[in-house]
This record gives sequence, C-alpha cells and structure tokens, in this order.
Amino acid sequence: MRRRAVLDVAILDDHSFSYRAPIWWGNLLMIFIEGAAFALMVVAYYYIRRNFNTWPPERTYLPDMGVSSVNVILQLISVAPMWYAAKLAFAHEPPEEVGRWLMLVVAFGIAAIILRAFELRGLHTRYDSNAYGSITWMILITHLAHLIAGSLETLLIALVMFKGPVERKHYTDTTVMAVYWYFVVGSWVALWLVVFVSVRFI
Amino acid sequence: MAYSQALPMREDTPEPPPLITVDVENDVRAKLTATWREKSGLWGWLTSTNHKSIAKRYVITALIFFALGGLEAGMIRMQLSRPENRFIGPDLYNQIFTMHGSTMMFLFAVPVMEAVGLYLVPLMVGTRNVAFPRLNALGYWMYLGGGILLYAAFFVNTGPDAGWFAYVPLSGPQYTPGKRMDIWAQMITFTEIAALIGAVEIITTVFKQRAPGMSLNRIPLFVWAEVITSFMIIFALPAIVVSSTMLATDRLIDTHFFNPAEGGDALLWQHLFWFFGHPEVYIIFIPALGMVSSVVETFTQRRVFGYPAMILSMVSTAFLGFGLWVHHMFATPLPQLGQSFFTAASSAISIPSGVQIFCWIATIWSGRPRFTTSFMFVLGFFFLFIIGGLTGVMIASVPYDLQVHDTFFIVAHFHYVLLGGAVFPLWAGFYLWYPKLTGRMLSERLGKWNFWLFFIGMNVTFFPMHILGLMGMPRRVYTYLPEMGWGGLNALASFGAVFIVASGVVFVVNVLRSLSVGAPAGDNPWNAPTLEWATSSPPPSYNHLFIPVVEGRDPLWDAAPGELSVVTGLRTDRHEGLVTSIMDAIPERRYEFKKETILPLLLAVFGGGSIAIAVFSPWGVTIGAIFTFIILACWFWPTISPDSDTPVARRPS
Amino acid sequence: MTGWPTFAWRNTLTWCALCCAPLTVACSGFQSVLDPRGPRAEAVAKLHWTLTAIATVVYVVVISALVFAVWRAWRRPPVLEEHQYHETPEQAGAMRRGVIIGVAATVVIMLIFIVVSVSTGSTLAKVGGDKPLRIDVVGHQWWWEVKYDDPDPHNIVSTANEIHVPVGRPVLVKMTSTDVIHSFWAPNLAGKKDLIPGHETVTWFRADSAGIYRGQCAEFCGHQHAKMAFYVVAEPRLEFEKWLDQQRSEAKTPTDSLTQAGERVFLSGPCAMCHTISGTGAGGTIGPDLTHLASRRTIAAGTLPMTTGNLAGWILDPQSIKPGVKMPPNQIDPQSLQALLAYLGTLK
Repeated sequence: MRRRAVLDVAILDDHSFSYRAPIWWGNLLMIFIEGAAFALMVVAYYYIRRNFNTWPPERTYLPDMGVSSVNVILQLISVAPMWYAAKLAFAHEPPEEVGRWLMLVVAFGIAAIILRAFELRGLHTRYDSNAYGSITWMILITHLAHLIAGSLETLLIALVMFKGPVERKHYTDTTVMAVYWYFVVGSWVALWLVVFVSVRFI
Repeated sequence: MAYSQALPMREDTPEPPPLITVDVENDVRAKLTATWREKSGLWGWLTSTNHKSIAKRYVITALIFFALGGLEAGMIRMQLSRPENRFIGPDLYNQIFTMHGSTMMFLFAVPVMEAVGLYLVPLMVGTRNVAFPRLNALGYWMYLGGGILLYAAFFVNTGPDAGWFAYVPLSGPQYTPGKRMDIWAQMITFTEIAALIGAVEIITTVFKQRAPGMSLNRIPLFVWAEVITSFMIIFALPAIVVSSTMLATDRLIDTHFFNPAEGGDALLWQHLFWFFGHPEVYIIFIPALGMVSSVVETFTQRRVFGYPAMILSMVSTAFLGFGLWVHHMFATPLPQLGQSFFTAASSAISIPSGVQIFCWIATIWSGRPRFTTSFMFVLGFFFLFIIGGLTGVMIASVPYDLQVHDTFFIVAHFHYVLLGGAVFPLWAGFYLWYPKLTGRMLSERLGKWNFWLFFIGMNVTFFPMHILGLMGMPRRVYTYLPEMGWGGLNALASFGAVFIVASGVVFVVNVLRSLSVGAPAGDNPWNAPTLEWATSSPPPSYNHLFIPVVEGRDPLWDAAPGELSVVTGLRTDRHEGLVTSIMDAIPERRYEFKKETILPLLLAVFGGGSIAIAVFSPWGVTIGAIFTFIILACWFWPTISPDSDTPVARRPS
Repeated sequence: MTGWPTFAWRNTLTWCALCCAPLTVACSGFQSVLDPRGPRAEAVAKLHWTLTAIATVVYVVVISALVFAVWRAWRRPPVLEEHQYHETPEQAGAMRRGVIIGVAATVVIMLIFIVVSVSTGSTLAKVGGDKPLRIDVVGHQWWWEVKYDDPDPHNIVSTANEIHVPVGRPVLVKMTSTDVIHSFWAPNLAGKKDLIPGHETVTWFRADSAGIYRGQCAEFCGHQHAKMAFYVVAEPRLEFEKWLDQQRSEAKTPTDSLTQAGERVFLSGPCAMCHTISGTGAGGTIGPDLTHLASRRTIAAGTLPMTTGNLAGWILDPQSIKPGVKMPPNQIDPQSLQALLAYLGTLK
C-alpha cells in the first residue's frame, strides 16, 4: 500500500466556532436530549390532568403568577448579556470583557435560582400531595437543575477568562455556553406557559 | 478559517501528486507511535481515552453480560423443562427472568451495538479518535458501574423481580418493598447515560470528522446505521430517564406519579416505558442491519444494491419505530380507533425492512458469494429474522394480539427478531472484524460449528414456543400444571438451549485459541472496501498513518490498486485530527483530541457512586452534585502546555 | 465450500417436517387459542389460520428467492475482469425489477393483513347478542373475585375463581383490580383484557357450547402469577339459573355436631378475619367469599382440585402450595381440622 499526498492541511486553523466546532454539536445533542425529557414531562402533565375533575385538584390554589412572571422576565433579560458576551467572544475581544458580561449572566442565574424557591412555594402543593404536585415539582426541579448547571458553568468560564491562561478554544466554549443558556431560558418559557399559564385554562 | 480554496486539489496540478517516500512514512510512523502511545500498566488502562481500547473493553464486558444473561436463560429453561418443577422457587425465578431481560436489553444488546460502532466508526470515516475522548471513557465506566450495581444487588438477594419492563403498581413501593426496584431504576440511570454518551460521540464524529471526500452519499452503510441509531437513542432514552426517575421518586420520596389513589396512573408508566421500549428494539436492530450490509458486500465482493433506498429504509424504520409503542398495550383500555392506527404503523414497518432484504438478495445474486462463517451467520439472519418479522406483522393485529399477548408466542417472536435479527448479524460482524481487531484469523472450522449449533439451537428452543403460546401458556410463569399438556414442548425448548450454550462455548474457544494460533491476517484479508481495512491489523493507536482522501463509496475498491490518496500536514507532536464539513467533508480545521486522564473514572466513581447511594439516602444526590461539579471543573480547566492552541494575549491592565 | 447448498436443502426439508408435526397439537384443548368455543375466539382462530397461511407463503417465497440468488451467484462462471465490484447494467435492470416487485408485493400483503385484521377487530367490538349477563370481576393477588350484580341486594352473588354462564348468551364483564395489573384471559372464549387499578375495563364473550373452559392471569402480577387461574363453566340456561339461585342463598346452618363444631372452629379462629360466609358472622373481605366453597371445582385459583385432602393441605400450610400468598399457615389439631373440613363440605 503506497500513499499519495493530495491535500495538505497544515495551514488550517485549529479552532472554529458554531456548527464547525465538534463541541457545538455535542452541546446541541445534549439540548435535544434534555428537550425531549422536558417534552415528555409536559405530556405527562396533561395526561395526569385527565385523572382529575378540577385542575388544579380540589383544595389546591392556582400557582402564583407574581413570582413566576418576575422569574420569566428576569431569565429573558439574562439572554441579553449572554448574547453580548458571545458576540465579544466571536470577535476575539479581550477575555476580561467577556468575563464581565458572563458574570452578569451568573448574577441573573443566581437570582433565578433564588426565585425558583419562591416559585416552588407558590405552587401551593407538595410533591407528595398528589400526582399534580408530583409532576409540577418534577418540572420545576429539573429545570432548576439546569439553571444551577448553567450558572455554575458560566461562572467557571468567567473565572477562566479572568484568571487564565485563556486559549482561543475558550471563546468557542463561551459561544457554545450561550446556546445552552438560550435553551435553559427558552425551555423555561415553554414550561412556565404549561405550569403557570395553561393551568388556568384547562 | 482558511478552507478548501487554500488547499491544492488534484485537478489543479498537471500530473498526479507524488507518492510519499518510504523514509517520510517511517518518520511519521515513528512520531505518531510515540505521540499516540498508550500508557502501559494499570494506570494506563484506567486513564485510556483511545476509542479502540475503550470499545474493546465495552464489547468484552457486554459479552460477559451476554453469558450471564444466557446462564439466567438456562436456569429459566431448566425450571420450565418439566411441569411443577422445583428447581427454583417463585421468588428466585421472578428475579432471574427480570435479570435475564434487564441484562440482555440494557447490559448487552444496546452497549454491544454501540461499542462495535465506537470501535469501527472512527476507522471507517478515517479519523483518529472519537470527538470527545474523555466523555467516551466516562461512558464505559458508567456502563460498567451500572452492571456491577445490578449484579452485586442480585448476588445479595436484592435483584429486581418485577420484570425488565417493571410495570407499576407491581414495581411500586407498595407491592415491591425494599431496594430491589430502586436498584433497577438506578441501573437504568447508569446505562442510559452511557448509551446517550455513545450516541453523542458517534453523531459528532460522523458529522464533523469524516475523511476529505467522504460526502454524505459516500458514507458506508454501517456508519449510516450507527448514526441513525444514535439519533434514535437521543430521542428515545429520555422517556425511560423520565419514567425511571418517576418510579424512583414514587418509591423513595412518596410522589404519586403512578398512584391511582392520588390521581396518578398505572398506564402513564406503560406509555412512557414503551415510548422508549419500542425504539429500543430498533436501536438494537438497526446497527445489525449495518453489519449485514458490511458482511454482504465483503463476501459477495459487490457494493450493496440500492444505496439511497437502503439509507431511506433505515431512516423510515427509525421514524416509524417511534410510532408503534401502543402495540404493547393493546390489552389496556385504550380507544379502539387509536389502536387501529398502531396496527397500521406496526404493519407498515415491514416495508422498509422488506426493501432492505430484497436489496441484499439482489446484491448476493449479482456477486460471488464466499461461504465464510460470517456470511453463514448473515444467511442465518435471513432465515430467522423473516420468521420473527412475519409473526410481528401477525401480532400487529389487535384481535390476534389480544389472544397471544403475554404468552410464549410473543417470547418466540421477539427471540426470533432479537437473536435472529440482531445477534446473528452481530456474530457475522465478529467473524468479519476479528482479524482487524486482533491481526489473526478465526478458525473457519470452529466457526461453522458455532453457526450450526446456534442456528439449530435457536430453532429447537424458540419455534415450539409459538405453539406453546397458542396452547395457552402465559409468560413469566415459574411453573405450570401437568394436565395443561405443555410439558413436551417445554422439554424440547429446554433441550434446544443446550445447543445454544454449546455454540457459545465453541465461540469462546475459537476467539481465545485464535489469538495465539490464528493465521496472521494482514491489512485486508477479505478484500473489503471500507477504510478500516486500509490500516494495519490491529490498527495502530493513531488509526491511519495519514488521513485518507475518499474518492467513492467503496474507498478501497475505487482507489487505484495498491495506492491510497491521503492528507498531509497534521501535527505529529500532539493528538491531532481533521475536522471537515458536514455535507461534502471539505477540510475545515485541525482538531486536538484530549489525551489520557483519570478524570472520567473519577467522575464515574464519585458521580456514579452517589447515584447508587441515592437509593439509600437522598443525601446521595447532593453529595453527587458537589463531586460532579468539582471533577467537571478539573475536566474543563485550562492547562497551558506546548500542545494547547495559541493562548490569547491578555491586555496589560 | 462445496456441497453446502445441497446439505442445507436437505436439512431445511427435514427441519420443516419436524416443525409441522407439533403444529397440530394446539388444535384441541384446554386453554387453547385454536379451540374456539365462542364467536370472539372463533373469529381470531380463523384470523390465525389466514395470517399463518399468508405468512408461510411469504416466507417460502422470500427464502426461495434467497436460496435461488445464492445458488445462481455461486454457480455463475467467474467474470473475466478480476475485480468487478459493481453490477453490470443488465444485472442492475433485473435487480431493480426484482426489488420493486418484492416491495410492491410486501405493500399489497401488508394491506391485506391490515384489512383482514381491522375487519376482524370491528366484528369483535360489538357485543354479540341482546341482554348480556353482567358480571364484575375484581383482580386480587392471586385470585379472582367474581360478582353477579342485581338490583336486589339479596340476589347479589359473590364467589371466586369460577364463573358460571349460560350457553349462548353474551356475558359482559366489567373489571378492575385492587392491587396490581392482572389480565383476564380464557382463550377458548375470547382475547384478553387487563385489570388495572384505578381503571374500569370491559370485555365480553359468549360460550356457544357447554363445557368447562380454563383461563389464566396473563399479566405478571407477582409471586404467584403462575397459579392464578379461573374456570368458566358454560351450562344450559336452566342449570345456570339453578346454580345462580343456589349461590344466592345464605350458608345453611349446620345440623349435626361435627359440622357445628367445624363452624365454631371457623368463626373463632382467624378465618373470619379474611373470609366471608354469608349467614354467619364471618365478614372478612381480604380473601375469597367462601359461602359456597364446596360447589367450586378447584381451590387456590385453579391450583388444586377441590378434595378434602387438598383443602386440608391448603388450610394447614398455603405457603407450601403457593409461597407468597397472603393466607398464613394455620395450626389446627387434627380433630378440629376434621370438623372444619366437614363444615366446609356443607357449603355447597
């Protein structure tokens, strides 16, 4: 077996962004997995609805709109600093700047986590009260896990940006983190619509 | 950022580019061998991130579980060989058939199909490792952890006993108290993480790391099969993640997902489980279809006929596979109109399978068959799978299924499709790829014994079960009365199991013996067309000396004889590979693979360990989360080294 | 490897012959799908033979095509060009035609399957006949509670594991479960239906000939799933009415000293905590109603024939017959046991 050299790739770069980067695909596939899990929880929510005469069940208040609306709006706002941090990362701007915007996202994330505790109380049911309690808590707690993971990961990338050594692949990581963050916020909008809004109509 | 326009393409130069000199090859070989050398000893074994080492471990572990599952099956057959047998009592029997199903489905079938993919896909697409080498290692350790958890529990009489499908309320806290089903649910967590990791690896590797020139329409059918399967895993496994979590919380912290007294629903479990469970069997089956294609093309020396039809068939099977799950629930009170839809869908899935079968038959007709053991296993696949497929279409009919559901007719059906449709192609794959893995040829004589013992044993064991089901014998019974008249056929079925065990022994002897006395294989003993045969047997740790350039669908048949077009320019001082575009595999950038590290094992031990502890105490979840965060922080923390990509200059403050 | 195709052909024929013989075994009997005694089972049995015939023909055709393809390819003289890896254009045409014919045939046969199946299904959905007999069945681990309902509470019949029905009259069965999922299946009469806690499921059947038909639980329900059988006794209308009347009556007061002693053993022991005998103080609902125990053909859900010896063994140690069952062993001295058995024998 003899080999004939027909291409030379030494001049190619060794990092890239978005769909050209394998890590972006790994992130996207993970979003598919988690999205599928959320979709199934939503299906289970509506399936359980059919076992009750009233919804929420008897002697259960409607979930509080106040706290949950604040949380949704906060999370939607948090998309802005994340988007901006990703834009800076695409443009290879200095890492401290990127890090600062990421820390702002972390602050929003922590706020959302704290508000989640109030949202759980605002469900006016316990996970062991009945099936309604179980499924609403499962949805909120699973999403809380994503909020925590997302905030901690963003914090980690921000720390790398401040402390260094920063490699160009960390800029890719920032942009990929942004996609994950959009998923965390986007999935919450959908889940919020199910748990806090649609409950009033079905 | 500089793409193909900067690279010299063949058409630009008047004469073909030069052959790489032997000196240059030796130099590159020496450098790559040094860079990619796997560490030796126990530490090397525990820290390896080489996809071939990990995949070999995966396959061997899966085969050990196959043997354990087979032993469990042997015990089932011994107990059922006579009416009112007292070989095993009901409690142990219920654990054993649950272990048999869980082992075969979660610890053997899906892992082995993924593992064969994890070994072959990087070789077949012409890259040096999977996209995320450390994640790959984590996947194996999680899988091993899940298997050990399950079997450790079984050996201390805490094995699950509510069936591999764990229907509630039987598997719930009230009717199966204790830790048995909690351990089952956590085993699911381990194995499902491993399966999802494998799927992410395969998709990312195939999308972004194919050899230049391997456009979408030049991807080998086996690789297509693995990619399609991986997408199925991504969308199907979350269903059992969600349902097993619901079962665990029902059992451990008193949630009410499946408790009818508090608005929960026993049918919710069935819907969620089977939404996973039906695609699961296609997850097992589709890689086998890829293996059949590889074997058919190799041993008829013809490319498989109808390449686009073959791919569309596998894709249709994957999509349709998500629309069949209710056919496991025909005996439940679901509306009849809805059930008819699932009859139609369950029958329709025979069409893509039919397309593939006819394309293979056409390929064989046009080719020159060689009756190696591998090819015989594929012929056996046809004989057996078609029986299973036909009984499958029969039970797609609601009225028919209402009679044979939960009887031995169903047991016969799914063993024909799983053993005949997945395990026989897998064995065909073993006989095809063993020379590549080990550099030695398996004995054809022992191989023929392996095949015939397996084929005869399968039929003697499982064909009578069709009749037993029609005679009224339900499933999952630890004994039966003598006056039912089932004794004769049960004895026959148990007798057949002896042949299957014997065939397994012959296989193990063949594999072990051939390691030392098998004929040396060389690079491509079968004159097969795909890229894994372009490198040595066994492949070096860096897979290919130079990344190949592909000019057709059958790279080694389309290339000039004795020659291979390759890519130069990748670094030999670090683990480097090539990232190419999705559609046409045009080179985009160079990519660094991560080297060996102990972190995946640590994450599996601590993260996985806390999942196991969570069965006994909710603190397991909290502690696990903390450990996971710490280890993941180490995982992603930057380390400056000569290998790293150019560090970013920090602006002076 | 010469000679292989001949060897395989002879082997296949032998194997086919060996397989076909036992196929006839299922045709008669006991708890068999292929021995229908009512319209629902009849329809499915017909469907079985239709589908099996079509499936056999399809299998023979496809395998013949495979064997033919292997044979032709094996026998074809080698081509001149040593490494031809693609089919020739003539071959490609024939192959395309072959695949298209095969796929078209598959589609047609699949449509036939669906049509045949759906039409069978819709025939079965309608209850076959007027004024069905209504029965409630409740599944327990591991026995069947059977109730014949009636607007007059005195006429309600509660029994276990044995269902009597009149020949020729449709029977509508409403089912649920108190614990886990079970499945009601008497293959001579109809397909199965699950009993699911929290749901009410409905099935119907009609016995068109008199006889005793065995059924068995067909959904894994725990330790003794294997020993949860029941009997459907189909009898002429007058005999059925007689049976029903007798079942409606309360237990007769025992008249002689032995049976009276037996009744005392029953009422003073733990038996009354789980079992009901109407007409006495025993009102337990955990286990089956024993008011007419002696009229039943089997005990322990079809596990053993109803004989004094079996009953004695069951009462003394049910765990040795059905380990895991809810009934505990009972320490009874032989004299009391004799009295108890005599008393139970009067509960016809």
